[in-house]
Amino acid sequence: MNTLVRRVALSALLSVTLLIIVSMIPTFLGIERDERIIIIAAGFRSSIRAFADYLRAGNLNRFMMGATPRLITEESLRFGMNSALLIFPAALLATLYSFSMPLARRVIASRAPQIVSWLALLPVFMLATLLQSLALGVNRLVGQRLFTLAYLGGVGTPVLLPALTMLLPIAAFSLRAAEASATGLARTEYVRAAVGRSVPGWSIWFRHVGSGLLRHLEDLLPRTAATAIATLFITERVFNIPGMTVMLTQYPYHRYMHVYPDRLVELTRPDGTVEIVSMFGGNVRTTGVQFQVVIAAALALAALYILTVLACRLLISALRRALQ
Amino acid sequence: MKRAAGAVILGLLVLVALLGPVIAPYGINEQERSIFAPDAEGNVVRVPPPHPLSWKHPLGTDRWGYDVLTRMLYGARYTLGFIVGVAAARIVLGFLVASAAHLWSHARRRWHPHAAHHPIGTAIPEFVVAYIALAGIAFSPPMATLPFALLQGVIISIIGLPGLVPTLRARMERAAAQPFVEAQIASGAGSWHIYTHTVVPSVVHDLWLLLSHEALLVALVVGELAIFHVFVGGTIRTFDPVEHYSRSHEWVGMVGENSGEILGGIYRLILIPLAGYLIVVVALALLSEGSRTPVVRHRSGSPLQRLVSMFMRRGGHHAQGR
Repeated sequence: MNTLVRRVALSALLSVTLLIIVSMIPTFLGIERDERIIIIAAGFRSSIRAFADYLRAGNLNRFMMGATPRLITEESLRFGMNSALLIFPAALLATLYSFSMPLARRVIASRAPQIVSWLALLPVFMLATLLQSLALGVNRLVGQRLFTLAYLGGVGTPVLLPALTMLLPIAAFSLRAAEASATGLARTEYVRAAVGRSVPGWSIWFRHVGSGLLRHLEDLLPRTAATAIATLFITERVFNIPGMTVMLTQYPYHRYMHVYPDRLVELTRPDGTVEIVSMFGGNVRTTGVQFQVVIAAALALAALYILTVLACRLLISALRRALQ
Repeated sequence: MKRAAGAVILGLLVLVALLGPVIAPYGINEQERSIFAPDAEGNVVRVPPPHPLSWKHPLGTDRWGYDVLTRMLYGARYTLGFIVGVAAARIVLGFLVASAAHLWSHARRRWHPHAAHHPIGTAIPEFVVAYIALAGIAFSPPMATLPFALLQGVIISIIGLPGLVPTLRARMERAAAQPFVEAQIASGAGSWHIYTHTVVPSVVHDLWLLLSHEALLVALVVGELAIFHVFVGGTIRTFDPVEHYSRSHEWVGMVGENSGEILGGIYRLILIPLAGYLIVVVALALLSEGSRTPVVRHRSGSPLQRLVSMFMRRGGHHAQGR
């Protein structure tokens, strides 16, 4: 357990640090239109200045989205909840599936794992796209909107397709490890001894092999959670679900307001056209990064990662108790 | 067998990439905005794009009237060139960094084998890190397509290093931990001699193996970035309506720029380039799995299962290291 906590905590810390460092790259590679490319740090300076201003005002909870000020805590909670509703059930079901399927396969023959493995051959975005195409085909065939294909505002939030997209890769990933583990455990001395004492098959698999399998699944949790996070981003994007993906990929950037290359400001300031440019967003190239949003998004992501591990850990503990 | 199949498919793709602009039926900027065709009642009516599959347009046109086959033939260069180029750059950079770390750790006698065998990954997938790095500069960049693709390649190469370097370093350490190396040390061989005569030759084979792995990984990252509208060579973004176009027409970029078409029901604009991308991925997966065979001799499961497990090890979990 200590090792697991250490690994998860270190992963979360590395994630936050990595995101903050990498988010500085665009600010250093600010680009102006008039020159071929100018590597300037104007964006970085502006971003740091803006961050310092927020810090001085003691108002790090605020950021700008276009021309609208927003609160980080509100947005994090709103988006975090949407993501949590996707990731937790998927990770928990995948863990449960990975535990039960290798055992069930030995008691009742099943081809489900092979089917999952087949589907897992596809990259996540491809799987999501194909599921969407298939669902649209079915909708057209029956002449009704059986499946919601994407979130387009309003009340129609897709549930089944994102859930499948989330579940399949995570289940395939942890199932593969669980299968290998179950095969290894079946060869251990105590399982052989149980077979020798004519213990019933289901009891051997679920009580003897099962408890060992849970240990392996527990070791695997950091990677399972990381896989879930990777799948989450693609799923939210393809199905247009407003979750952590929006928070992490759109909110940190402040492209069209307040942050301009110095020279552009000089060129446009006299007649005030900078405001017009900013409104239409066409030719302002330098990106401002709102570091407070990056930090908040990275922390929220790390929290989501840790909570996913903990939720799966609780499920494993419950299963372990049930087996005893 | 798998390696040969992968090499043949990849060879054909390279041929297509090289000859693409020559054999393309139309110029890259040729548009067929509207055609006049008879409707169900025999009246000649004006039909706007996208035009369906026909002899004139074997893969149809997109909604602006550009021939999809032509775009794919032009885009093959960037599709393959970027994937293979970035993978090669990663291998070279990774090898240099791992070598430096290996020599440094031996000079300082600070090597701890567990550090390389149990790398701590992050919770963030590689494509998200790449997106954060590129999102501020990839949309409507004033740079030409090729220089921007190179800049992108450098960034994606560097982002992949934290996963690759521990793997290479662990292999170097394994090579340096063989019993006969002890004998070499006892005979007075120095770190540099052992590195050049033992470590490097034993890692070279792994580099070829890792090249196809990395290419597969880069293909996945490029695909995932395209879903977020970050295309190879930069993204043209228009306003009112907000649209994103790939400047280099790489295949997976065509998937990304047409991603909204699923809701419009025009499947082929997504499925055709997606099929092209899938062929690239399968070729790389076959090469990768084929290269692995001499190293890992005792394996279980069908070839497909092994391919699946290899794919799952690499895809979607990039940030976890190897």
